[in-house]
Amino acid sequence: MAELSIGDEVRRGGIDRIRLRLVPPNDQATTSGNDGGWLWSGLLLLLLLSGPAVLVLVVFDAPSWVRAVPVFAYIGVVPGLAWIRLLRLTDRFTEILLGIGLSLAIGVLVAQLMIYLHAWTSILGLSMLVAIASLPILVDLYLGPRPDRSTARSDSGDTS
Amino acid sequence: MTSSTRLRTAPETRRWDRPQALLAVALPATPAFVLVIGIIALRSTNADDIRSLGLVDALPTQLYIALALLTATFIAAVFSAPGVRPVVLVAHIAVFIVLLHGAAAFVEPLPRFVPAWLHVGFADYIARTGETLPELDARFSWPGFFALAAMATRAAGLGDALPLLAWTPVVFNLLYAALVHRVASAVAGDARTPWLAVWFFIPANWVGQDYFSPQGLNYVFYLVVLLVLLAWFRPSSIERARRRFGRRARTEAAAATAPASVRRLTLGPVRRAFRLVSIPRGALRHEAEPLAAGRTTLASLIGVALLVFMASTASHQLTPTAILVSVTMLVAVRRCSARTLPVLLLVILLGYISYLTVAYWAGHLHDMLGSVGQLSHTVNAGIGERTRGDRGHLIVLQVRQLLAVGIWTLAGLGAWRLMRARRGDLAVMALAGAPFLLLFAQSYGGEVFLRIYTFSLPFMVVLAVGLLVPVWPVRRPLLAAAMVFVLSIGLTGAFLVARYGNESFERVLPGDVEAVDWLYANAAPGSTFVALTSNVPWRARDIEQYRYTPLGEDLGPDSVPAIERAMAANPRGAYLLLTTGQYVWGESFYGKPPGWGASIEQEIDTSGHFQLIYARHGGKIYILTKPRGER
Repeated sequence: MAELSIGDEVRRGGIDRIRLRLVPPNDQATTSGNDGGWLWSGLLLLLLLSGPAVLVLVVFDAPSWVRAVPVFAYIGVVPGLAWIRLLRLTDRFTEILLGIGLSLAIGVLVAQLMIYLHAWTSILGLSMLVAIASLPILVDLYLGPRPDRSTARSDSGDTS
Repeated sequence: MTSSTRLRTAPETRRWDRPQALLAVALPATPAFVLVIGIIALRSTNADDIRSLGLVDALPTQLYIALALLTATFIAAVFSAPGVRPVVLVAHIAVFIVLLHGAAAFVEPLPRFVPAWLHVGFADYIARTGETLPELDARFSWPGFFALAAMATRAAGLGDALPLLAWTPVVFNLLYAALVHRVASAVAGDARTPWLAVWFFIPANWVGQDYFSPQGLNYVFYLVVLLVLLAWFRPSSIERARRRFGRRARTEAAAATAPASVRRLTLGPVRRAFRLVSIPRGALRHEAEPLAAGRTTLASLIGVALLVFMASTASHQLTPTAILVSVTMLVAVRRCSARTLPVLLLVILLGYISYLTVAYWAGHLHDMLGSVGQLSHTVNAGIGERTRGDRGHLIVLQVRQLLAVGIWTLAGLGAWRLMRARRGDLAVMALAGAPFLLLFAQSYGGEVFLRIYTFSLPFMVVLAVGLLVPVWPVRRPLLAAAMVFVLSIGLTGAFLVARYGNESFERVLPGDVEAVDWLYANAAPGSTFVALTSNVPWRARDIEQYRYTPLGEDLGPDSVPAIERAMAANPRGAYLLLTTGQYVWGESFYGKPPGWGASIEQEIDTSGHFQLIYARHGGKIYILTKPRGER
């Protein structure tokens, strides 16, 4: 977690200026987005198992008040986030946003593909999304925690 | 640049310890307090009090006070609170969005806006049949959004997408706000800019394209693609310096030949005045740096952008063009290192249009290309032809125009100030201006100005914030905060008029829905539904089983003979549907004289050619018993 700090030396000559500096909380390179090994694996397992869990709810026709939120959350977040996590972006917020954007894009393309293939069923669509999401998670689990490579701006310093 | 970016003040500000201790307690509590007060105020609002100025006529004072309090504490947090946690600012923004973009959902018993109901019908058709109907409506040639909605709602066990309508604007705006924050973070060198940009974006986004619609989803795609390019694909300062090094070295060497005192003496009054407002050299010196990433990551990010663009191409007509124009502009001004990306995007776009929208453009080539380059026609369709309606509607239009011009003016001044401070950002200015090129593409049904405003807004607000920050440390912090407060309050007030000013006809009345439900329950498939205007919440189901007059978003037959002709044209039967929503729309939007609906109703009753078969809560349904000319 980095902080933007404002230096004390910046009031000069009556001109309001601001100098911002990216200050990493510690000097060590983070691994796998600051996650500890077991926490990281736990999160990936949670993402991996959420797919079959949602599929079970749909296949066994659980009431809509039970499955609506999990289904929407899964379709809107998990497939894209699973792929974006492979990029090891340290900015969690941006990572999640790109994951949501990519999930929605994948959802659009999968749903439209079913129309063109004349193979429309919502369960098939959801199964395809679960497969698409599971692949990068399995790769991620296989590779294990890795150091981040994109931790800061290229000059890694003053951005004022 | 992280989500946990904190605003931390310099140590000298500790003389404000006591007020800041108060703020430390008040700030986290305010969003929850305002949310409760706001919801109570909105729930106590009577939707029947909505008049020609829309929701503003009905909203209670408590809501305005709650919004002012929220604005005040947000600004206090941004400007003076030491070490304020981002979660506090996020809570302020979330409550602001819920109260502004969710206001109608609290006040009105049914989801607003008839076109959203139509989109439910499109998704319902795909969910039932797994096919599209491009010959029925052009939007079926870009069915991605409806297909996704159909798949998600059926998987979620919902009968249709109606339950999603009311809160879709809130969800979309939460996403937009988050993306605007990251876009502003990627380009700003000041920690306050992203927060203030989001705060201005929320009320400035009055256009209302965030309902349950393809364009609502595609705005997310638009922001995602541009976020990727701004964050990772900007040239670094080293690359920029290398490009301009030769020219700059020469000009600086020439300037250095004369001493500064001599140069001042030789400046005349006109040149001195000009220098006060002119843009200095090095106006773009402090452009933000791209995020560092390896080749694989960059290639993957381009893949993400392409995939998102493909989804956009498959789900909306205009947004891919806007993305293409913006990316091309970024490349043209050398602020995107992925220089071949526009070519790839163009190939995807042309490929989709050429092969997957044939059913549409084969019969509508003139609609697609007829207004290309016709600037005067586009301007006339976007402004002239839309300026009509009753007095309340005209006031709303004027507020919208003032709001748009105001935001653009503030952005222009902000860009000038940033460049004067050598903090200009060419990428942001290019993206703020690029959507205006859409004027040369087509009028988009007279909506092109609304879309230009929407596409340029995220970058316009970043530039507008440049007028106010960076201001720290300031000699007059209260003045700067007061300016932001006044601007925020002004924007919020204008938003309520611009967004909800048409609520008299954009809300959906329960009586209208009841009449439509009765029709679907009793009308034989294949029959025609006739109405005076298209402002009817029909076509939300079974769209392929009935015929509709009018089909588009316009006026239907508005005289008794015309109605009879429309109904007699279908031998399988026809139903005339008269509802309050149609009359209000005709009067307010089209400027029909007051009482025009009631007079037509009276003519129908006295003509002897119609039989009233349903009359309840303002809705009436007739069948034709004796067409004109029959004996």
